[in-house]
Amino acid sequence: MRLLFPAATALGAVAIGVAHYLAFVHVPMESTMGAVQRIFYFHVPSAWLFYLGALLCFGASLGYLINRKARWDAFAHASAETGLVFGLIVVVTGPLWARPVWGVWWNWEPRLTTMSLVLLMFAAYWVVRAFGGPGQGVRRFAAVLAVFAGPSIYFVRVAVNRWGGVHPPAETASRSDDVIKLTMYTCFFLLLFVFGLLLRIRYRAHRDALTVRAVRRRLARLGGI
Amino acid sequence: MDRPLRTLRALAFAATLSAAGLALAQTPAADAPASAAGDEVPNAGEVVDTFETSPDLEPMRYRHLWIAYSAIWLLVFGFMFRTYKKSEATQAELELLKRRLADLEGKNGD
Repeated sequence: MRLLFPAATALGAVAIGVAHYLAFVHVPMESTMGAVQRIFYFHVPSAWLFYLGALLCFGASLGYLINRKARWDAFAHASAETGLVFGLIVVVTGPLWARPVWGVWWNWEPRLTTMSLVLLMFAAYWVVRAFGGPGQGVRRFAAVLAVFAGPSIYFVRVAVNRWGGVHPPAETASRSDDVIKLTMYTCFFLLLFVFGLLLRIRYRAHRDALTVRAVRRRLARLGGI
Repeated sequence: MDRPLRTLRALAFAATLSAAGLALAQTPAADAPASAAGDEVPNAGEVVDTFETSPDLEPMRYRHLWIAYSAIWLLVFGFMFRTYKKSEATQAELELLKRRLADLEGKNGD
């Protein structure tokens, strides 16, 4: 059992290597965008993983508000942080793709605007958790924020089909050539594995912090602090 | 929390806001391709054996690809490193507190 996590980490490193091989060597050049299209093999799966992190945070926050167990809050916190990392990947790589393809770094069209708003909500969640301290009030406030921010993912998802804009629609991946589609989905599952590992180590760190607080309280009761 | 870390976070937040401001203020570049105007690209999502390169855009495409993947791994490894440091500090504190607790409980038991 002790070897499970190091083995999983090694497997994660292999997954990263395989994902790079697929994105850079296996898949041929795309016909309209050239080399810069290869950003999509990490950009699109990262967006899906941001949604996943947001939804996990939403579910765990709801759970925390119902049963007030600190473990739920720790899981929500870890999910938000891990999701935020993938959300940042999306907003960093998106403009780098857009500049040679659209000619601009950014466009305030529906998908990009809704994505930035939801990302800012989770950035606010992170700021509250990072600077608010460990108090119960802060945890409750953050949980309520996540409960509002989580379902907003729906608006990001449907933005292109509902309100138009220049962003490629959500179905682009499934409509693409087979090799592009297969590479995209394989990269998603490999990055999902990396997401799981990151979530696990972050959750463990928050659980350890909870244990530290519990031991501190016990010490305080015994007069050791 | 460490003061330098707080400053770094505040700077990162300010940089994000500045980037958003710059994005809002920008106008389309002169070398913008047709798709910038929202035109449909007829064969997007298809793979080709030979790719017709655009001499103006080609270096930018490779440069941006390189920057994008560097940024991805900077973010992922930065997150992993931060988590590792946090875990290490928490584990060290936990060990110390447990030792202190064991000493105290031993004393109270005597």
